[in-house]
Amino acid sequence: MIDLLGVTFGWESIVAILAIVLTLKWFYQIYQISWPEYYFSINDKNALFVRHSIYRFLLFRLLPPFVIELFYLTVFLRESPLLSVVVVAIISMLIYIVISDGNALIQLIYTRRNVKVFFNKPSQIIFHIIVMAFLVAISYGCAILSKNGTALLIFPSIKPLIDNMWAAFIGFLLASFAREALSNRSISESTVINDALQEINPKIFALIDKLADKANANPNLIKAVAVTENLQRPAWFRLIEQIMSWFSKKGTYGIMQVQSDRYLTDEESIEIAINKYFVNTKNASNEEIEAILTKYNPSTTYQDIVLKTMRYLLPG
Amino acid sequence: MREGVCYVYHVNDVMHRGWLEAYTLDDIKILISYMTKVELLASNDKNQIIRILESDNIGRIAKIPYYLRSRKEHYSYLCFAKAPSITEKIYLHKTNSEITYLGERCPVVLGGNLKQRTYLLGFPVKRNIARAMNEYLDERSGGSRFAESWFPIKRQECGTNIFLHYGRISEGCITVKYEKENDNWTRLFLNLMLSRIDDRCVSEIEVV
Repeated sequence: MIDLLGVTFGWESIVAILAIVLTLKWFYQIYQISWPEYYFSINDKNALFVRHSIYRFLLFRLLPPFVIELFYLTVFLRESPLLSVVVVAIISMLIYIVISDGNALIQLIYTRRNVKVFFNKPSQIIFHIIVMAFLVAISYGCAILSKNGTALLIFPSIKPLIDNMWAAFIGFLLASFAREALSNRSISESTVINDALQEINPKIFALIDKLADKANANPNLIKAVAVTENLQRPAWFRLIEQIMSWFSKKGTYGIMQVQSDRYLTDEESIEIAINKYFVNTKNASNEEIEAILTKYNPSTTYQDIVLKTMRYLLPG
Repeated sequence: MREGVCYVYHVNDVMHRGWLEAYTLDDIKILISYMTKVELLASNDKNQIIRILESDNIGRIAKIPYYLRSRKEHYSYLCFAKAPSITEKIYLHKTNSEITYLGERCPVVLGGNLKQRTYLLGFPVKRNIARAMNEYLDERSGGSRFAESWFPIKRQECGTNIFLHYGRISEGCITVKYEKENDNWTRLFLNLMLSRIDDRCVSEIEVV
């Protein structure tokens, strides 16, 4: 409990102030401009639309604070005395004014760069002050109205509001789950290939470029094989293979998964694979590439992934 | 990577579609197309600093990321590839509604009335494709990953508001016809990017 201006503030008052200020801030942020600080902006179509008519402008600037404030005052301060409600209403609106119009006003007065003057500066300052006065008047009106029987009838009290919020939250979770389960979304091949590509150590690609050039080999074919092998046996799996090699030497090693009687690093596997399979493949036809891949790994699924990866890297 | 003149190279995969996103030193985003000549000025752990030597961005200094990066290892987008050397021009046969280039024929849709003369083709610009036209990018059905690259046709009499591009609709442009069973645009794009007239134009198109 806090005593201020002879009024006692409970947790409901603090929550109401926070809720009013944050909801108003978020509401105007939906418009993706620093609204309403710069509501004279001409570079945003929402701002233009609202500013075009004075009625629309006042409606947009004053109605949301009115509804939001009345809602929270009625919900949280239903049982509080009128004086407490008036003080909470005015404090919350003053905080909001300081961070919106007040901020804009200071920036205007000090001619900061991010506030533009769209007509003359005094008019713009007066306009802000008028809006601020309206907002304070509205907050007082909201406090009075929140004690009115109609407002109490329209807006819920805290308990049913929390019950409804829980029901809405659980409904939202179930609906999201059902949507995900029924949407039948699939990950695209490009995404899978790109992920595998991003995991490749940059020095592997640099080495492939260098060795392929020396061996007159097709660097994209070798990169495609490396990416495919990396998809099937990622780095953590190759680490297990390295540990296994302490017990049994023979196996397939390195990023290119080359057969060897001893453990091979990624770099060694690239060098061996190029010399064994990819020499003079720079201008190989599609049929020749398929024959090389069949020698490398007879699985048609494997060859399909390599060819798709090759096409991912280079069209054609 | 050593400093010097090189080309924007590793951008023709499906994700990049022929374009490298770069930022000028005052943080303005620019797009640099495949095979644009640049000068590598410096490299650090996060970026490379380049000076653009071709296209309408000529002379600008920009930061580019790495294609692959892990701790201290980097794989650059740039490559000291062989310089573009094709000098043949494109011929537009108005009566047949087709273009011929390097011995290949591509059907086109013509929307305007181009005079019989030779026009210069500038470096491509990126035009985003509307969602409804996504098939132009789908390579399983004749689309091309380079469909967003449009080559400006430079006309002295009325500026560069017409283009050589891929699609079905022409509003005054030369539109290389999208056909489900034939990807004409990819080959044409790659060849044009290996072609040069000067540091602002890749090729010429002669209307016959």
